[in-house]
Amino acid sequence: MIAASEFLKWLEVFNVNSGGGAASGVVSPGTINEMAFYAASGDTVSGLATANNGLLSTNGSGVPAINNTVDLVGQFNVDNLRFDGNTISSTDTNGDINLTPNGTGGTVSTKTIASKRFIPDSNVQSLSATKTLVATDEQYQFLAPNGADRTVALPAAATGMLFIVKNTGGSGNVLNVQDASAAAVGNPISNGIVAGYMYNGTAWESV
Amino acid sequence: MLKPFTPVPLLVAQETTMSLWVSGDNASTIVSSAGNVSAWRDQSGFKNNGTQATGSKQPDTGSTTIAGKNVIDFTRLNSDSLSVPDSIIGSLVNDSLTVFIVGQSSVASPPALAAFFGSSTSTRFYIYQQVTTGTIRTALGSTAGSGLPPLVLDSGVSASAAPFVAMVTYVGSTDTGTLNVNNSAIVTGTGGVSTPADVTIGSAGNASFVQGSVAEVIVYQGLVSASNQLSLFRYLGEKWGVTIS
Repeated sequence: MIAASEFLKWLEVFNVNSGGGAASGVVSPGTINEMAFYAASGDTVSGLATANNGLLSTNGSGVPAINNTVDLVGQFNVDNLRFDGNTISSTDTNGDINLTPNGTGGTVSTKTIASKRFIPDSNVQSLSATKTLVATDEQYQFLAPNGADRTVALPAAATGMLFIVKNTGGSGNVLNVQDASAAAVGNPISNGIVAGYMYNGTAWESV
Repeated sequence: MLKPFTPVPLLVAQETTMSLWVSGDNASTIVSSAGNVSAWRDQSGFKNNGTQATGSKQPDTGSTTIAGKNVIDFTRLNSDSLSVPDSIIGSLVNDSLTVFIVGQSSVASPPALAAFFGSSTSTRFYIYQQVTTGTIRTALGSTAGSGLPPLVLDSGVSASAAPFVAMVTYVGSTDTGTLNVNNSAIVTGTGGVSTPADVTIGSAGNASFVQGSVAEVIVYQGLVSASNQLSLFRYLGEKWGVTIS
């Protein structure tokens, strides 16, 4: 184990590209799984084979090389995000960790996600027309029919998609829940009642 | 135990059509003035509300609880009842029916038949407290036109000793009825074809008024499966503090 101050002292950057140009930097000989960054003047590493878009790091035996796969023993900090062992954490005060896939990409876990709290977004709304839900809408829907029976249209869905709908109105107006083909899903939701809907791969069902 | 998001009565409605669901603990479904209930709104979503326009015949809310939850009290002036559409039951000549009711009588032995839920005498479908013995009974049908004797089933369970969950089923195709109280006192018989009319909560068609409380009524227009019957017994038993076998 090395002290953080010592680690930072010898941590330098080699920013390597295919164009070359001489530069020098320091890594600690014999240190295992060391990675160096070089920020300022140089752009070529002498005495090592170059590689596109690589980082200079040492392997498990302390031998430096330019690698596209980097193993680091210790912490890896980028701005306010820290990778340390099995933990990814934010280091700024009350900092969120945002996972923001691009385009049609999603956030996927192939394993169980454990959490002390799981609070999906919610939508509180007084309706004046049909409420058409889309796949990216809030999972919790607190809907007031507002003077007339209203239709809640569920989206053409992916398996496992879940919506929780509550009729928050104080009158006798109901929420008629339909699927994407306008077929009724379960009984209408009367005031004060909560109902859950999950897509089972073929149709929406109450859960 | 992990509970569903959707209340059990609505989940069961995926299997068998639910035509009525009223519950005293949902304050937003009770329309009242000075504690007198003019409407008990149906939670089935089909608006088969229980209604009583005559002030002197309106039951009370906010005065009695079971398991800490509000119930509707039908003791005032011995004339309280709430009318519900006959269509919640329909014809039982060929069709089937399942009714759940949670209630408790305030008298050990009423001087006359006292119906928690029922239709008029000529087309009887009663769930009631028996005269003198005070037990929970059901009666279905009349001899007129059917050729079958009325079906009367006695659970032997007191309607006043403790809150109860009673289930009555009737299968029109076989003329078979069952009364099940707390999933422990079960009696079955045949007979009693009927098409109930003038259906009310708290009386039998505005006669034979109950002296007691009704906490919840659920009606399905069909025979609820055995597994879902058990789910409903457990749901109602846990909700209203009734021990279910």
